Amino acid sequence: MLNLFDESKDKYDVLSIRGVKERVRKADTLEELRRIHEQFISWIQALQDSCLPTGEIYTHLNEAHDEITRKAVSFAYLHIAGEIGEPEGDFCFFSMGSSARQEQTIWTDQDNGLIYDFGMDQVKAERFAREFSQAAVHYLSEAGYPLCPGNVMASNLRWRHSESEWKTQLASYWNEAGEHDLKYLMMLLDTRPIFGNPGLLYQLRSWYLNELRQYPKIIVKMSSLAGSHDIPINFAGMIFTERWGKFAGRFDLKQGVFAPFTNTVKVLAAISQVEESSTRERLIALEERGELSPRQLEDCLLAYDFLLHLRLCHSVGARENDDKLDYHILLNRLESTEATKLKDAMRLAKRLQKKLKKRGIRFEQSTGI
Amino acid sequence: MKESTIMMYMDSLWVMVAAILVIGMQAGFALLEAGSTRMKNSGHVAGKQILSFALATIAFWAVGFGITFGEGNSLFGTSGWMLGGDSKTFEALSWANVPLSLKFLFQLAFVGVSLAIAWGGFAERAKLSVYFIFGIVFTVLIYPVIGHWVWGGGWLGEMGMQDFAGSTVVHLQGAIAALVATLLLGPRIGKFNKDRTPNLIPGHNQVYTVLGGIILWIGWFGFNAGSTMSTADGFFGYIAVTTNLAAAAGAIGAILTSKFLTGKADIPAMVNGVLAALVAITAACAFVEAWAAIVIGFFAGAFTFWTSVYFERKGIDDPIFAFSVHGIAGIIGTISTGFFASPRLVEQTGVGKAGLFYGGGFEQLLVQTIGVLGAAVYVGIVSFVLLFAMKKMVGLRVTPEQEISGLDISEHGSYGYPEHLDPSLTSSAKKAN
Repeated sequence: MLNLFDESKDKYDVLSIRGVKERVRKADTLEELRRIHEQFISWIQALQDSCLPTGEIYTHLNEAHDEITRKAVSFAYLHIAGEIGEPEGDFCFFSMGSSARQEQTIWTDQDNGLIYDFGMDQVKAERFAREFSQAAVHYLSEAGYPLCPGNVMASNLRWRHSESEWKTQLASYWNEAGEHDLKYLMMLLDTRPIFGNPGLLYQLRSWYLNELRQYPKIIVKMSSLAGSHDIPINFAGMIFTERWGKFAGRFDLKQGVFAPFTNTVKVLAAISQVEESSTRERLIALEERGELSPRQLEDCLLAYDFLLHLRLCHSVGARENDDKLDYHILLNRLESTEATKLKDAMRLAKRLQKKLKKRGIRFEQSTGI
Repeated sequence: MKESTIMMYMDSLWVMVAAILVIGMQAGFALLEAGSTRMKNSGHVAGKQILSFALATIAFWAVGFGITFGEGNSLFGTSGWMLGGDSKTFEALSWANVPLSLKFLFQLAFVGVSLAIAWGGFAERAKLSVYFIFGIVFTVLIYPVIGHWVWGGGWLGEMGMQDFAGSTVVHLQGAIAALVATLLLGPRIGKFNKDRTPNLIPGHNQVYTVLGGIILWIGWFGFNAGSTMSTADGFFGYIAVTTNLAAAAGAIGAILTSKFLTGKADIPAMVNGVLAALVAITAACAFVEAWAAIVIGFFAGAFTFWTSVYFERKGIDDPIFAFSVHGIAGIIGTISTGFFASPRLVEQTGVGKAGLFYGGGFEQLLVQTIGVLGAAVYVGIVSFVLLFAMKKMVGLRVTPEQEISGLDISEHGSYGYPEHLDPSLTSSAKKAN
C-alpha cells in the first residue's frame, strides 16, 4: 500500500479524499500543508492507477486544493485578526481561473480575490483587507501555490474591493470596454468562494450577470474575444507546434485548446445567465437552457474530459526540473487514438467559437439596445 | 547600315540594360539581408554588398573571367587574363554578338550575385577579413571553375547540361559556400537553447526585406531574359514571362505552405518563396512551357519554406535561409528541366534534350543530376578546405563580445542606427536641448 502521509498523526485510506481532508484539517503549520500538497502527485498517480474516471479525479483533487487553500487562508486570517483585531462584518476570499472552474491540476499558481463588507470605518476596513490579503497570498505561496505571474491575487488592489467598490469597478470596465477591461470582465466570470461568507460573492456574481445583459455590446465584444482565440489546427487536421523558443516542437495544450474551449463555454454561459462556475456544470446548464443539443453536450463533455485527462497526465509527468505550470506537450508521445481525440476536441472548440460569435450577435439583436 | 550592325547595336543595348538590372540586384541583396538581420549589424550587412561587388569586380576582371570563359581545357580556362587575348580566346562567348566589354560586365554581375548569396551564411558573426579573403578566392577559384564547366566550354556543357541563366552556376554555388560557412561558423549566439531548440532572431525591418525581394524580382528580368544576350527573335520576352510566372507561383506557394504548416502567413517566407521560385526557374526559363514554370515556381516556393524550417530544427543557423532559397531551389530548378524541358524550346535554344515528361527519357535528367552533384561537390570541397584553413589560421568568427555588441560598432566603429543603439548620442542630444 502506498504510504502517502505522515503516519505519526493518523492512518487514512490513501485513495480517499476523506483521508486527505482529514489530514489537512489536522495540519498545524504551513509546512505541513506544503508537504501534503507535494504528496498529491503520488495520490493522483494512485487514483489514476485505480482507473477512476478523470472527472472524479479532478473533483477529488480540487476538493483537496480547496481544503489546503482554505486552511492556509484561515491561518492568515487568524494571524492578522490576532495582530490588529477581528473585523466587524463579512468578507469572502474567493478563487478565480482554473481553481474557480475546479480544473486545477497537481501544480497550479494562485488566482484569487477578496470582497468585503466590513462594518467599520473605511481606513480600518482597507487596512484589514490589505493585510489579510497579503498574508493569505504569502501563506498560499508557502503552502506550494506560486504567485500569479499576472498578479491576479487579492494582494493586488485590482482584485480586492468592498462590495460597493466591486460594483463601481465592474461598471467602469463595461463603460470603458477597452481590451484590458474586457479581459478583466471575462476573468471575473470565473469566481468561487473559498473562505468567509460565500453569500457576498454570490450576490456580486448575480448582480454582475444581470447588469451585463444591459450591455449587449460588451457581450458581443466578449464573444468576439473568446471566439477569436487562435486554435492551432489546419483544415487537414495538422496541429501547429511552437516553432521557436524552449518549447519548439511542442504543442501548447493550455493556450492551444483548453483556454479557448473553457473561455468559449464561459461566455456562452454568461449570455444565458448561468451562474455555475465549473465548465462541466456550465455545459450541462447550457443544454438545459436549449443552447446546446443533447448530442452537442455529449460531444463537449467527451472533449472536455479528454482535455482534462491530457492536462492531468502532463501534470503528473512533469519532472522536478520542468516548469510545472507549463502545458506544452510533445504530440509524438500521444497514442494515435489520443491524437485523434485531441484533433476532434480542437475542431469542436472551433465550432463552439463560431457558435459563440453568432450567439453574441443574436443576443445584441434580441435586446434591441 | 547593315542589318547585322543594327542587331549588334540592339543586342549591346539590351545586354547593357540587363547588366545594370543584375548589378542592381546588389541593392536588393543589401535590403533583403539587412532587413532580415538585426539592427546592430545592419550597416555592416548592407555595406558589405559594396565591398563584395568591389572585390568581385577586380578579381573577376583580372583572373576570374579568363578561367570561366578563356580558352583552356574542359576543367578551366587558361587564358584571357584582364580581358586580354586574341579573337579566339573567348570563343565560348562567341555566340553573343556584343562587345567583349559588355560580355564581361554582364558575367561580372552574375559573380556578384553568387558571392552575395554566399555571404548569407556568414551573416552577423563573420570577421570582415573573411569577406576579403573568401570573396577573392570565390571569384577566382570557385565560381569560374563551375562557370567554365557549364558555360565556358567545359565538360558539363559538352554533356548538354541545361542551366540557362545559372540555377547551378550562380545560385547553387553561392548556397553551398553559404552552407559550408554556416556550419563552420556555428550558430549565432542565442539562436539555440541548451536542448537545441531554436529561438527566433527576427530581422529588424520586414519592409526592407520586402523591398529587397521586389528589387531582386525586377533584377531577375535582366538575369534570365538578359541571358539571351540577344534581341534577335524576341525570345527574351518569353523568358521574362516564364520568369515572372514562376515568381508569382512561388509567392503563392510559399505563403500557402507557411499558413498550412504553421498557421501563419509569414511575410519573409513569401519573399523567400519568390526568390526560391526565381532561383529554380533560372535554369529552366528558356526550356520549359509557361505552365511548367508555374509548377516549378510553386513547388520551389512551397518546398523551400519547409526545408528552411527543417534545417533550423536540425540545428543549422542559416540566418537568411540562403541554402534553402538558393541551394535547394537551385537543385530543384536544375533538375526540373530533366522533367519539363519541352522539345520545342530545346530545339530553339540548342542545348541538351527534351525532358522525361515529353518522352525524352532519363538522359537529360541524368545530365542535370550529374551537373548538380559535380558542382556541389567541387564547391563544397574547395569552400570547406579554404574556410577550414582560415578558421585554423586567422579565425572566421568575431569574438562573443563583438558579436553581442554588433558588427556595426565592432568592425566599423559606427552604428547603422546610431540614435537607436548609441546611448551617448541620446544623452548628448538631451544635453544640447
